[in-house]
Amino acid sequence: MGKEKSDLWMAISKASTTGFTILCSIGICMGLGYAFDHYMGTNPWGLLIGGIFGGFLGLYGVIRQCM
Amino acid sequence: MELHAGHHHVVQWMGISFNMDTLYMTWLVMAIIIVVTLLATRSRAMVPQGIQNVMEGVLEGLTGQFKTNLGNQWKFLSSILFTYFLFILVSNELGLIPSPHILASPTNDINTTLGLAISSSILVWIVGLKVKGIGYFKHFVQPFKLFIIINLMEEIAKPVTLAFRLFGNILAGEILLELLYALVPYVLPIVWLAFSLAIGIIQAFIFAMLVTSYLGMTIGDGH
Repeated sequence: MGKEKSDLWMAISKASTTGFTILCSIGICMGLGYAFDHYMGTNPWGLLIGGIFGGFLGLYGVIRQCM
Repeated sequence: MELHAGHHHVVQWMGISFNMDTLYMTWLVMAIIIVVTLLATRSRAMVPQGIQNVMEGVLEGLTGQFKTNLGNQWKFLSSILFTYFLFILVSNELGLIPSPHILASPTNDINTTLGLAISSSILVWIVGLKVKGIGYFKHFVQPFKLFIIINLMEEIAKPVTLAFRLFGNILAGEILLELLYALVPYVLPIVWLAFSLAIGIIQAFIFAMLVTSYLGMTIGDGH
């Protein structure tokens, strides 16, 4: 398999996982935020901050994967 | 109407739940792979024919991809990556064989996909330690120390993403197939079945490629 073809397949594989990367990152961080709120009584700040942090983490993961 | 896709026969043993149908199907997948690979390698010829030809074609295609991304390490890692590909490929296609709710894809169970994804993450860590030694952990504090939280969270997100993508695609495909059989029992399910066959191959390929990409990032200087 040529280098160009190989790069194309790798790009397709990475592109196909972009949405899931962002979704899972937001889900994990919101889950942790929710658990933090539940035990510390900080509702809804953990959930909110977790969601924002998850979005940032997802974008960071996608950018790192694509670079 | 009762949907069967995604429903599991659960057995409790010592406080742990076991999805028995997933276990049986996983053993079946392993048996199929062992038989096929034995048949392909039993009497190898210089000019490959039949099943040997098919297996060589598939593995040569993947080898080209591994060599490009893994450099010198590809020989050391190729067997486990081939195993991932073959296991996921056979698992995905198994659920598409028409049967009275006997056959199901092991990959329509989140436990299987999460197990595969976690094992791939452990493989990445082992390879990172083997290639770079203790210096592998430096990447957790790059570009600067504050990024340790983000990098650790990313390490958790990677296997979760891998697992949910594979699980979601296969389960959604099987549910839609079952619905189409119930609603429009002619033509349309055949079209979707053909599409699902292609999806099964693509998903197995994507999983192997993403693990290769994570390994490439670990081995390369960019990590």
